[in-house]
Amino acid sequence: MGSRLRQDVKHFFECFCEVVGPKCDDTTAWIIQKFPECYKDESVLKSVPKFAFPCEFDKTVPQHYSFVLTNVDSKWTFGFCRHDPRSETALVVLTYLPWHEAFSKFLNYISELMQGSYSDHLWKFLDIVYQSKIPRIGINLSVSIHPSLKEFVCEAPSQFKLPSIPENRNLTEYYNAVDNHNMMIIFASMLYERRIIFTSKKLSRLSACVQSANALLYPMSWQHIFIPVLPQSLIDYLLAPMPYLIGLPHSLIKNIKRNDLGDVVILDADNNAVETPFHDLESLPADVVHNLQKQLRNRASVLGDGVSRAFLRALVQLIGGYRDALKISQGKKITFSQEAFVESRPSSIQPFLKKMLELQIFQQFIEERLDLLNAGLGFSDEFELEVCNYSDKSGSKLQQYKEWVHTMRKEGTAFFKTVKNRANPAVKSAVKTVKERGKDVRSVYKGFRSKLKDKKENPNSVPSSPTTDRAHFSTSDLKLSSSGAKGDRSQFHLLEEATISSSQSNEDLSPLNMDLMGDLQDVIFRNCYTVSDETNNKATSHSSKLPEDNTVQNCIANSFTSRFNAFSSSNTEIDDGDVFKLPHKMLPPSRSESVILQNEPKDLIRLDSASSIGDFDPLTNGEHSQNSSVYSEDFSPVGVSNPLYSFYYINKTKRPQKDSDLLNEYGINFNGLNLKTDSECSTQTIAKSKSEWTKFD
Amino acid sequence: MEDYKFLFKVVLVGNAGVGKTCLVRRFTQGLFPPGQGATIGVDFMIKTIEIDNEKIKLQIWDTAGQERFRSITQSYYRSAHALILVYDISCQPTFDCLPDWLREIEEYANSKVLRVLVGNKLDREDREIPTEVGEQFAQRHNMYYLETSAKEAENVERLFIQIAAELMEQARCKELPRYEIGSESIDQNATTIKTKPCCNN
Repeated sequence: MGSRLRQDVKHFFECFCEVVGPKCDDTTAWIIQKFPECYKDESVLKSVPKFAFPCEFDKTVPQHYSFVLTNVDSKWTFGFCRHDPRSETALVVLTYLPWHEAFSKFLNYISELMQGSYSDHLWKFLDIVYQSKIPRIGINLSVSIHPSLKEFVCEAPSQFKLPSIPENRNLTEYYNAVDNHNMMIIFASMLYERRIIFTSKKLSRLSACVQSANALLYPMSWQHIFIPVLPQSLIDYLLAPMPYLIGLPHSLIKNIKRNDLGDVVILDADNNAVETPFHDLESLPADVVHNLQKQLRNRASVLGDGVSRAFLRALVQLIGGYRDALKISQGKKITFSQEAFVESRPSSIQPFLKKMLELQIFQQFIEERLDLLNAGLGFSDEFELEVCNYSDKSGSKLQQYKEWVHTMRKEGTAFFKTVKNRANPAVKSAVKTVKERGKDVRSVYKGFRSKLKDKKENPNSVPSSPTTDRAHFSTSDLKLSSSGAKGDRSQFHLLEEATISSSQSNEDLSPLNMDLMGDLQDVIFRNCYTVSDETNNKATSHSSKLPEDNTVQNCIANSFTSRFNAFSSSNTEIDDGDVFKLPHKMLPPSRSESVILQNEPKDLIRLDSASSIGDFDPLTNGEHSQNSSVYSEDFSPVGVSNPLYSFYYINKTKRPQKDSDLLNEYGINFNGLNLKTDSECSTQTIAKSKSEWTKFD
Repeated sequence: MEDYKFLFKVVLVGNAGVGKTCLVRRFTQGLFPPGQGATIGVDFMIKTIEIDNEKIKLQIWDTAGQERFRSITQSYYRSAHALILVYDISCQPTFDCLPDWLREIEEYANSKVLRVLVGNKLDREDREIPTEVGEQFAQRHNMYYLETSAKEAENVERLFIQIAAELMEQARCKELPRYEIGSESIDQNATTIKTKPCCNN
């Protein structure tokens, strides 16, 4: 729902085009050749030349940039574009995969083929890549077309990792071009869903900044008009009354009158200047801004995902409380309570949260999470991890979350069991199993709930939310009922009490006050044992990690010399260098571990030194770590945008695990899953007569 | 060189298949070339009309893929001058979705955005929502109301002219930003309906 990436991607790329630029003023750009020939999406093909030559620009240096096309379903198609001063044509590849680094390599490789004496091989190369399976996360796609030619290798990036500097070229470009304060203003403007224009003389910087600004909203995603590079012919889109994020080539600015634009936020990425009629950053809760500022100022954490994580933590502070507002009732879909969302947080940020509810990006985010939950999937990503860290720190919501986890565990266990028993899980049966399990649980909760009701009659209790007339158990009920007690400690005891009494009412109910982390470990790693044991004897493969680390080093070196001004050809040489020639060679774990240790960026702003998350870190358990890196070759790639993956935690002192590894171990194949739209509408409108109503006649 | 006194932005909202695009196409009489909806996700059409000897440029925005929004939040239309909420009079579900489209409608009742409820497909024999029901809904939510048929061109012209007239009235009361003589760079000479071609300055 919220995601604008496609899930059902079949090919590495959809179409490759070579586009001839406009010769003089009266001719427009046109496509001279394309692959595959059968690609027939006329509206896209008509647009490609416009986006490949969006305006007059400096053609004296090789230039890579990306554009985005939005189809009628609001899904994005990425266009990666390469201009070379040696050529009059632009190379464009259209794809549904947002793999910026992989496709710039791809275009460099194609360019070399075309410029060299092997241009005959281009079609063969494209065909092989087109027919190849999309590589799994962290795995290389390697194609060799001729013995005397270098092999083409690129890695499938993990979308679960936060963008890092300098590996992520978009973020590196954005960070270099725009200072912390201005990045924060843009961040705030995007949260307020403004109409936002980025400008730059360089198309590469333009698209990189727009893409990164959106990436920093993770786990949310921009829901409105999104045009990283705006072609001259579409300049009227700047007049759109709805929110937008548009990259405007600097040369086109003169074509637009400021007066017509209305209220817009403009970032000049070449001069690091923001112009805004709003006070969005000032309107964010002060402590959120303060923390963000502090973390961004920490220069030691610039390398790696420090910048991304700083923004992520700001979002955790703002919207991490969404989990406290989830209403879980057996047999019904999980819903989100707006009131509970606002009320669960300190009053200082409540006004902002109320505004947040009006934002499309937030609403889509909630929809997406509800869809995942209602599909019976437990999930975790960097955002959820940070939420855990944050609530650990603040301590207040842990108990509540515990209950929530417990509920999910009941369902989750069934789900995982089903998954485990079937090589290629059918969701239907999983859901069925969950439902059956849910029946037992429901009756238990009924008893539990009636107990809670008793508690509510306590004069200290806050009135329950209006939805309590429905027979269900909800987290907010729990919270409200327990709020009569003073302090966290007593809250804890109160819940224990309730738990005990409810288990008395039903013998089958296991105590609710189980150890949170133990619960999770139990749910998640139950399968881990089984899968690991089965695959115990298979060889471990770390090779995909090794090239990445070399790339990291190359990139670091590169970033400080050239500041990523262009994807220089020398960089290509390095990238395609020898390290990539051994994609599937097995390496002893110890070797690989030491490599990682050397290259792991220092994480100086980790706040969770005493986090209990560590308790269920699979890597701290010797037995697990032995088996945790096993790849099973029949594991299919995960949907490109699905933020789901089983709970894991990277212990910085140990070898990080690949996400796909973990997924695989749990026996999860998300390809078989179809997330359904929640059609339940809960919006209430209060009828209200207005006398000033007018009717056309 | 075209000049205009006012520029008004109108946004169309409603379920898929209620005829939003047809309404606009009818209004612009199909002269507007197929837009960029399929590659930008948003389409817009422009028509200049004249009321009381004043030239008014109407820019009508039609978003594809709205279906993914369970409701449309205020940020979506706060920069618009008018909002047209469309349903199909022969399709009850499209009417039932109206409250969802504009979440907490009454909360924004005093927002400056002019809101119009349109029951489209007046030409259909199998009407499911009586006029009164639509009217009452509009009244409750402080909206204008009109039934149209994009197919038969019934009330379509009237709908947009009324909107323009109303907005002009508001603008004259200084409630809206005024767009004095239009900028040459954004417009080009055309009679009534225009799109912007590549301007090669």
